[in-house]
Amino acid sequence: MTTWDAATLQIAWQRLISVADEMAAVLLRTAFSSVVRESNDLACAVLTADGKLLVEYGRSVPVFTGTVADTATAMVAQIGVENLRPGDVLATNDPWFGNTHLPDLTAVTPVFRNGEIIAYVASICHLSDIGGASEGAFAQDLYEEGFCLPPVKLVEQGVPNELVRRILARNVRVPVQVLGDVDALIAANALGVRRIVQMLDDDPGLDLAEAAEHICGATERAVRTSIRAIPDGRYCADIDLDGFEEPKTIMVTVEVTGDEIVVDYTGTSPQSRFGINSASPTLGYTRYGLACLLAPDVPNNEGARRAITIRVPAGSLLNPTKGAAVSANFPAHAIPAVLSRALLGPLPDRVAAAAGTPFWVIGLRGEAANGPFASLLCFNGGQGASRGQGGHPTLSTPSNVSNTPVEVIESSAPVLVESKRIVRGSGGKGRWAGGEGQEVILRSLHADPLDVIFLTERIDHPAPGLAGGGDGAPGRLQIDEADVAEPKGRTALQPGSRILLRTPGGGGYGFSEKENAR
Amino acid sequence: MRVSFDIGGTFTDLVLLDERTGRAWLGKCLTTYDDFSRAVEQGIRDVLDRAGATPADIDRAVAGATTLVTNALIERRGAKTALITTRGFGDTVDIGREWRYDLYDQQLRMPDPLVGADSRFEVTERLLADGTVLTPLDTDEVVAIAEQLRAQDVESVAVCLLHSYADPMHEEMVAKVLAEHLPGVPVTLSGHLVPVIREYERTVTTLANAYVRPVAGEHFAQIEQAIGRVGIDQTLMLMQSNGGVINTPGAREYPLRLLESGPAAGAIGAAHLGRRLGLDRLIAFDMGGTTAKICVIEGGEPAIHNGFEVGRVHRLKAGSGLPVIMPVVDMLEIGAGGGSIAELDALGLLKVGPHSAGSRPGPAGYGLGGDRPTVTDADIVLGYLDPDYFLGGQMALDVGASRKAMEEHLGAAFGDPLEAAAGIARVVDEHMALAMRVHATERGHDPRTFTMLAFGGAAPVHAARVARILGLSRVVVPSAAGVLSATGLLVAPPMVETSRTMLARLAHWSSPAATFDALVAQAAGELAEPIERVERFVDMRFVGQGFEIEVPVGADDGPAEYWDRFAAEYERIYAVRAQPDTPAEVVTWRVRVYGRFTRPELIRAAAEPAAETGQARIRPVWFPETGLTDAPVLRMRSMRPGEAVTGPAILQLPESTAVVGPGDRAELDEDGNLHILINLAGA
Repeated sequence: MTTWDAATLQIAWQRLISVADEMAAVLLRTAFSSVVRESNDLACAVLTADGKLLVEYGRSVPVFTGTVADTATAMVAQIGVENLRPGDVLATNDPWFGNTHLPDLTAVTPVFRNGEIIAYVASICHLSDIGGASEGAFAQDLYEEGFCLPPVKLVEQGVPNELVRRILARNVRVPVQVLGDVDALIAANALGVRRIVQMLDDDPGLDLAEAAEHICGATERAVRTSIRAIPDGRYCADIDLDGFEEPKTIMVTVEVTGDEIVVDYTGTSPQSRFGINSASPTLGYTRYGLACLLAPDVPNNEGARRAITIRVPAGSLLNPTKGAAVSANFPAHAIPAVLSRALLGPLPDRVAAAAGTPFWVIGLRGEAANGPFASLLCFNGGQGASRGQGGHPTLSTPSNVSNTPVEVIESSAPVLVESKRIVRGSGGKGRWAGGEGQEVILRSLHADPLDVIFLTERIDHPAPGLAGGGDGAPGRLQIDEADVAEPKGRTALQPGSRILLRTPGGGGYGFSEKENAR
Repeated sequence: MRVSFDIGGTFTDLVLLDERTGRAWLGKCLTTYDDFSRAVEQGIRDVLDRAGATPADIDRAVAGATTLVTNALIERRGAKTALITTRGFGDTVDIGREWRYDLYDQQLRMPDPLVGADSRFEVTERLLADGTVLTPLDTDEVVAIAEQLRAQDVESVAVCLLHSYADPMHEEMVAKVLAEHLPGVPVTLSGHLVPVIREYERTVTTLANAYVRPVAGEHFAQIEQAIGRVGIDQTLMLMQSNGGVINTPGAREYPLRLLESGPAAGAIGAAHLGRRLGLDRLIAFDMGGTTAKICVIEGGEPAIHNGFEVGRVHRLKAGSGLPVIMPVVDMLEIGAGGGSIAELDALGLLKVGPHSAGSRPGPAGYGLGGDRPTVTDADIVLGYLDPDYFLGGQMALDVGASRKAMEEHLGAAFGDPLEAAAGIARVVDEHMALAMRVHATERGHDPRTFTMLAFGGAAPVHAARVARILGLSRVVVPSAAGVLSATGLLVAPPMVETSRTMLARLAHWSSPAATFDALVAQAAGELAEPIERVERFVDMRFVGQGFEIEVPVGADDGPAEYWDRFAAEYERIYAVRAQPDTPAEVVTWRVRVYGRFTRPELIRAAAEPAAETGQARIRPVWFPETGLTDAPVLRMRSMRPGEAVTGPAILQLPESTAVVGPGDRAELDEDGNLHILINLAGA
């Protein structure tokens, strides 16, 4: 029996968080995917016996923390909880089981004690490759995007499922690396299982379900207290994006009633024919955006969701029909900004102007003298300003991916980065200025045409300012000084050709003093 | 005789050792911030006096550790510094790595770069990743830059060009031009200081070295003069962050290697004590006023980690400081010490730290104006600290003030001050245990097989309980805990470490002899004395991975040995067995070159005052197993070696208090170290 006082709860909570942190350390260090190791594109979590989020790794990519529990629950339901055995590891990358997009693989391991499942541990990481178009936005359905693995037992009672491994390996461009990533997920989860079992060995009286109730209850109360402080009402906003075949708009209505919030995306543009649709990331970024606004100091878990209802119209950009392409689900990155816009009135000190999001990506693939290479390079724009603080230049917001060092880029792919500079003055003007974007010039040193994919945004629609602050400078993408016609497309970069990219600046906050004077 | 000093934030510690008898004399002075050498001079004179020795008796190099380098960086009191980069990359220090260390904080702070945009210069040149020249260096531009540097009165220059880890040739050419046109201004080259891949971290590291170089040089000169004034005719050797000492010319060129000088000396001191006690697996646990430090020592050597973060700007959060690539004794710092404030957070949970009451106003129980409850206040309320004999009786404690602070700030969650104090102690002890468990297991160790070495004001109070939580069976409180760092200085060999990045796949094996020879030659030059032994290491990973593991290798090892050693270490740390055909590569090559050194016998920190006598008193003390219970309070100096005390008991040490839990057994050994055997069975 445990007495759940302020000290006991704190101790159990911290210990569970450290399990997720340790899992992430193993995943980060043993994964092969460059986006995982250089850009931290991963998440680790501990879930309750009924699949609810209990704790997450503190530096998880935000989109995963809102989706990992749903994916785990859907996977367990598909396979049947009665069919789970100690030593099993389940995995899927299927967006229709709550997964974000095909390149991300979610692995879930049940934690058994005395023959019963007492928890699950889960890890997600971006694989080195998933076949098909992989990250590219230009695919027109899920099948074109790559290999889709429905929920399967990746490991059965400790024995790797060789059939699944062989099928997966045959469907990706760099099989050794992808299997290495899979093993990294398995190792991270195995460590999580060991740690939780040890935690209960140390304190056999500890009831995890009871702990979860207290942990989630504490977070829920904090979130509800914050919501109650917002006057009841409907708060609306919208935000424009470049889209793919046409510009897209996200519309949101945040309805506050007492200590409950309903977020409704009615009015949002219809889904795209291309891969910019967002299925589960819509939920992930809505939960993350609200967490920043309502309870930034409170660790995230199931409790944070209880007061929040999310409604997304079917067939829209943020809730596409089954089979739609979702690989470059970047519009979802604008969700925290649109929520900030909606809640500016009641929460002027907590909201932030839009960031120059999402991060831009250049994917490089080809064959060099020492084998195939596949590099995914991320470039961040400027952060949005908030009341009292200007936005930082080139800071990943709301996602959290690092850049790849220039020296690492040039060591792994036949390209030369000629310069990488901050675009001075590219942040939105205002009382507090938005963060500045960056300009990168990259030249191909390859003897053959280089297969390049682009993921960009905010070339036509800049990051809007807030509370009178100005818009950030829009982005720019050129090859040999001509604007790229399809900035979310794929191209063959000729030997010696140059790409110039300028990531967008963040929005400013508040009227500048000069404007105030007027 | 040998003498050593450790210039710390508050005190400068000294040890004088007569290696013929093993006898040591300890000294302590307040650190003199206006001129650090004054405390060193005064301290040396004092210990010589007390030993009845003369300056001429010092027949070995004087060894020292100093906090100056860290202080200069944290307080931004370095030189007017300029940075020269490859054209197109002057903004690297502003751009950083583009990630957020706190996901939910929309207003996080980032550290300012060490140089502003007006002191950053770009030069036309370019190397490729393999070190070949794409664009030759434009030396005319460097001449023009030199003029601008002179106009700006720049005192120190950092040069960091892309891919200089592969070949420092262009950086060396820049240095040559600057030497000619800007004589007397020190120039730090990244390709010499840290020839490793990743330009942001390498630039920050090079800049940090350049930034502290002039002030460090002055500091070393002052200490040398002070030693001369005392009349000691010996050279000065300084402790580096990796646990080896270096001569002053080396330290002057690369002062950043002294970044964690004092803590490294402490770890070496702890390792030495462990060797003497026959304990080769130690967790050194140092808990002071604002933070605690944890270091794992295995096989008599502290682990070395190749990176460090300086000057975290936001609540000690990892990622909020400047990342420096430098071999540093692998130490975990936690924002919880005796002065850490306990409070109820937004969720109503009890949080301890990272805010600290420091020494002013200090814990409520100090009676110096503090009114927030701290860890020390909890220790007072629980009866662990004696109100009438704190710090050997130098300070009286106000129990009422401690209780009042608990009531006022924690009353909402706890019925009475005792419950609140017990809660604080539990949170702190569990926090320490968790940090140690993670730190040890991440390195592939089982903490239960280690002995805890507890030192610093607050560690002996909490060590036995933390050990019990971890399942550790023995705690040792060293006799000369206060001068462990200064002791470490006497037993640290001269050592220089050099490394460089050069990617090499095992499948394309070519003998690494030339690579290692070049590193040894560079290290030998810096060591400036005969080499006694060379250790070779490589940082390896599987092809495609981004994190490396350091593996020791032999001079004659081939690719099969490299692979086997790496795979074994990989499995030990991550519990993952690699497929035998998985391709692997070496990323960084490293040597440690040691000078000749005889480790002195250090038997006992002798010359203690006569053993105190006195009857044991009885005081109510709280333990989780017993609640409030009467426990004897003993002065450690009145105990005889080998005489065991069974807990519950409180042992008062000269600089701290050891809490012995119910059923634990405490006894002194012949050297005056206190051993506490934890009663795990009765837990």
